[in-house]
Amino acid sequence: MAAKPPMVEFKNVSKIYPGGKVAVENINLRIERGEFVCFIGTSGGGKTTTLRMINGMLIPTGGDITVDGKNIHDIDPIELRRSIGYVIQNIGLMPHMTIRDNITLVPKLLKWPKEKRDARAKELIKMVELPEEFLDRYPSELSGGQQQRIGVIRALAADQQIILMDEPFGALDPLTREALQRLVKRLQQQMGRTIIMVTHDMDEAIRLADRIVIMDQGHIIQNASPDDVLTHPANEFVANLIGPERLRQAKVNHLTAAEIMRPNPIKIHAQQNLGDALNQMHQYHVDSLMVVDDEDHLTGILDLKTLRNQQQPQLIIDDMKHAVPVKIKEDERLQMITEPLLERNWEYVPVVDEQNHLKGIITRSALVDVIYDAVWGTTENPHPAKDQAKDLKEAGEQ
Amino acid sequence: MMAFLQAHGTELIVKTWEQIYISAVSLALGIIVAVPLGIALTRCKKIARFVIGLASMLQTIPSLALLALMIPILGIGKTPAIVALFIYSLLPILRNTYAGMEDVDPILIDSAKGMGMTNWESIKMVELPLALPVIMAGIRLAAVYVIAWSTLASYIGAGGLGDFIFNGLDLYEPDLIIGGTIPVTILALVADWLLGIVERKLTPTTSRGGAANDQA
Repeated sequence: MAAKPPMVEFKNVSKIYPGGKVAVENINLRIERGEFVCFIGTSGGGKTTTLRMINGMLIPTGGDITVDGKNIHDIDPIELRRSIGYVIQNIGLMPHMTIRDNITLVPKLLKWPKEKRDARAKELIKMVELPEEFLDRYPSELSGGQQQRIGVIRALAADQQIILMDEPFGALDPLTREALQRLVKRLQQQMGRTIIMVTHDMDEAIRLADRIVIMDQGHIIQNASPDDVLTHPANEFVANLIGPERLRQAKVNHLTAAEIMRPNPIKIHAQQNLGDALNQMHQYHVDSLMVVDDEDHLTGILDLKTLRNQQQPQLIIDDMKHAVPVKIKEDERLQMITEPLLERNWEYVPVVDEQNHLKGIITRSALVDVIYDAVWGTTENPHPAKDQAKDLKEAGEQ
Repeated sequence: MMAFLQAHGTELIVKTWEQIYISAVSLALGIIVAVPLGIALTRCKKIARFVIGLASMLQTIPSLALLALMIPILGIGKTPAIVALFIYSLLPILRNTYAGMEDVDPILIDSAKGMGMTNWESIKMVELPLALPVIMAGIRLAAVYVIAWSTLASYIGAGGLGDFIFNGLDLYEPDLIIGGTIPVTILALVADWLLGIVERKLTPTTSRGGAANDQA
């Protein structure tokens, strides 16, 4: 079976306006089915031009654009636009039509029967949590946020698989904007629609997008997931667009377990006995030991509590150890680590690799350093410095 | 006044009818030509200024001169009068149609296009309904002009209430002048009032509270 074509694809697309202004130059971009892609960049960077070429509002001067595998050059532009949802910043609801007529405008153009249109209007208005009575109102009787909700569902009314949004929430207050962002994300996830949004708000792009396309002067500067953009900005321009505050936050949030952990934790072989364990605890001033097998696989944990109730030092550790309550892989991110340590109050979390080899441990004090960095922003060395109390554990290790 | 009505009653009714007939036909022709032309001009803006300029120029020809100019072409009677008055009605309707259409928020037109409306659907469903109040204002203005100027049509034998006024002037009979003028004024006022009702009917509703003119 052949793979499904990308939902939208740009191949060497350029747009030069009459008079020679180059809006977009030779861009290549694939947007997959169900993806949420945000175009972001400075104004005049070509992002709106790129968006408007998808539904034929602007005609490229070079290259090809395909929608669902078909070159849009070969599709009747009217038909193309009816199959693509379009949400603009100024909402553009028709002031002389009721909300019902506004929502079902495209279905009406497609000559759906009236009953089907009415049913769709009811279904959609429920989806955005507005009362059904609103269907008989006029746009001027709704608040800006309510109007844009209608603007969003209008773009879904005829089962459009692609929805283009041109700075849809730019004119709304922050609270309303956030509510609408959640709504759009939910609709995209529930209904599997492909959403392509132009925005100038980096927070919006990071929150919503599966992929961020950064444009400047008609070129795509970076095309990557929000994580990648935050952790590896392609150049100075992208870094400036993200801003130092977000970069620092991202750096901290994206620290991996391997970067935070203390290597070489105190460990003991499973076949040694409790007496050996007690000696080791005494030597290193620790109250628990990582239990490993011949290949250094983490198999359990032995703590002081177990030892205290046991008066037979010849017992084999393998029989007495606890299961490991929680462990973390080397490449897991800080968010994953803080939860067991802070919320569930573990003293430490062992770090393992893919094969369950013991690599290190992360202690609560290691987190202190990381959080210190996040708050005070001493990013010189994101790796934790030595702490006092817990480091006694490892004092004699090397 | 009763004496005037007794003497000229029947004639008054006939002349009023003639006045209405000439005005209504010229205005109707004006609407039929100027509204579509005004809409068409919004689609080819390059020639819009030229066409509107031409209509403005026609408007500056003194009305009596225009009527007189019709005689060598169309002779005398109602037809040349209707043609001349039709030319007069063009400008206000054309200008208002063009302005009304141009005044429609470009965002709405962009939105209509983006949703996949054809040019015609955009005109029919969006632009024309929103431009109607302005177009109607032009039609009302044209109606008042045409009714007033059709009085002059009497000069080229088209009949109408102008007959009274011109006879009155020729015979030094103020009764006839007043008897012709008052009905013309009443006609103009009534036409304006009726068209005002039509305008309110056609103005798109933008809130449940009732018709509101969002172009204002």
